[in-house]
Amino acid sequence: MNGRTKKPRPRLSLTRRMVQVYTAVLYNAHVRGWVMGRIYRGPLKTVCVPGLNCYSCPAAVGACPLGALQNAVAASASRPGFYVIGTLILFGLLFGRVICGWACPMGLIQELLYKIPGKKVKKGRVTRGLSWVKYAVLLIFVLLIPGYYALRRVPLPAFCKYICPAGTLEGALGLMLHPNNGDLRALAGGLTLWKLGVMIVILAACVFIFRAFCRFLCPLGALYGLLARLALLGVKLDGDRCVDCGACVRVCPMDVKAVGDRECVHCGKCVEACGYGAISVRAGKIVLAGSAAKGTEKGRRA
Amino acid sequence: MRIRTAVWLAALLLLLGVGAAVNIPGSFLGDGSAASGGKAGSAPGEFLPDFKVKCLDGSVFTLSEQRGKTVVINLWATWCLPCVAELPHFDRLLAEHGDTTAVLALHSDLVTEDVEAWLAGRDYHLPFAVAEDRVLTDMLGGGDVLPRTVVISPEGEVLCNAAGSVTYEDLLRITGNGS
Repeated sequence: MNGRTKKPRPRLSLTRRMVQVYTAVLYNAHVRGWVMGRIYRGPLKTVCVPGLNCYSCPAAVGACPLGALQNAVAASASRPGFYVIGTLILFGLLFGRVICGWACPMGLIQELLYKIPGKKVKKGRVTRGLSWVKYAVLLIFVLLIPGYYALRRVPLPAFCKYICPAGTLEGALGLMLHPNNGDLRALAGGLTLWKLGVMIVILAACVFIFRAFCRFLCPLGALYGLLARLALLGVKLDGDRCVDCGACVRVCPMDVKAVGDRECVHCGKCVEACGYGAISVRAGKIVLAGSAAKGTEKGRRA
Repeated sequence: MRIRTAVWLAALLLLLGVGAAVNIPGSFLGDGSAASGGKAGSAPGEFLPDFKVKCLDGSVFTLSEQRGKTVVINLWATWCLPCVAELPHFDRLLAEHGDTTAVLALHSDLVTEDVEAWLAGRDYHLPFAVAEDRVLTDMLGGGDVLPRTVVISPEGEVLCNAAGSVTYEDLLRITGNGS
């Protein structure tokens, strides 16, 4: 008999996909917003969701952490943004870039786009180098430009205004396409065209490059990445079991140099690839997934 | 397996709970916005319902008390760059044509910083008020898209209600103060 059997989908990646879809729906539970073409402004909107999800999406129930950070910087001349900064540090210390891999709607969108058939760009030195660009985006568009204009008492959330594809896709298109919002459509001009162009380029790139926005441009991922080594939850390597075979880094779709570093989004592919049981998803010392018992005596370090 | 099932069940209940709460206007998580958007009376040719709002300087702006003057209401916010850029035009309009024109600068109910503190040090002489909730801004045509300028004739008829920036010349033309 000559037949192909489809490899069963590993449980961890299925769980991750389910969590991604769940969080995307949870962050955007305001269905009424789609019906009415207006955003939700109830009490929950003062709470930041952990992932990138535009405040101006009609369905969004929470605030975008990046938008909130830029607005806090923009208002910093009159008051410090302790609440927003504290929230982001808390998210980073608890979850790190697990948020990117498991609880970010923009991350989910990018992964779904990558499933579209087409030539795929392999990672390498160039993509590793490009992964630094998001730190520049964080510094310039999220901190320096809003901060500079804050001193002049002018609000300018530069990343939201000039770059964010989530804002264009969820907020701008989400609102502008609704029949009730003719006055918003009438305001569309050069900046709208620029943002649409940026969004189209980024989404197109995601078809060929895995998580192109996440890897090269997302300042939120950059921010959480700074706290990567401190985060409580995530994919962790057991050094005693590791034999330095490099399988984890090879199979990783991101530009990591080591498991759990600033580029790791904790997707768990390395957990499934490690033949020595050296990698697991942990919350502190508690193993949530990945078998520590998978390794053999041969695989243990002397 | 049981823990996993319990976690997913709790997650589902959370989703259903949040979903129900945010979508029902009167619920504890609802945002109070009317199904129709509450805009009736705000379109050109219509007549706005009367309203009164307390201004930051302690005075009260009542729409019906402005009869006989052209009324210009500007919906703005400190976090809205085009709004901030055009405030001087409204200030100038009131300074130069205050005998025939009443102006109100109404800040969105979405407040991200102390509006009074923001205004301190800026030399404006407009009546500034902050909307307490979405009801008033919805009644004026919607506070989600800013800036918004509403112009009402001395007889109370809405002459213009549009979102977007205005120049001083636009204001003169719309209010009939232009030469």
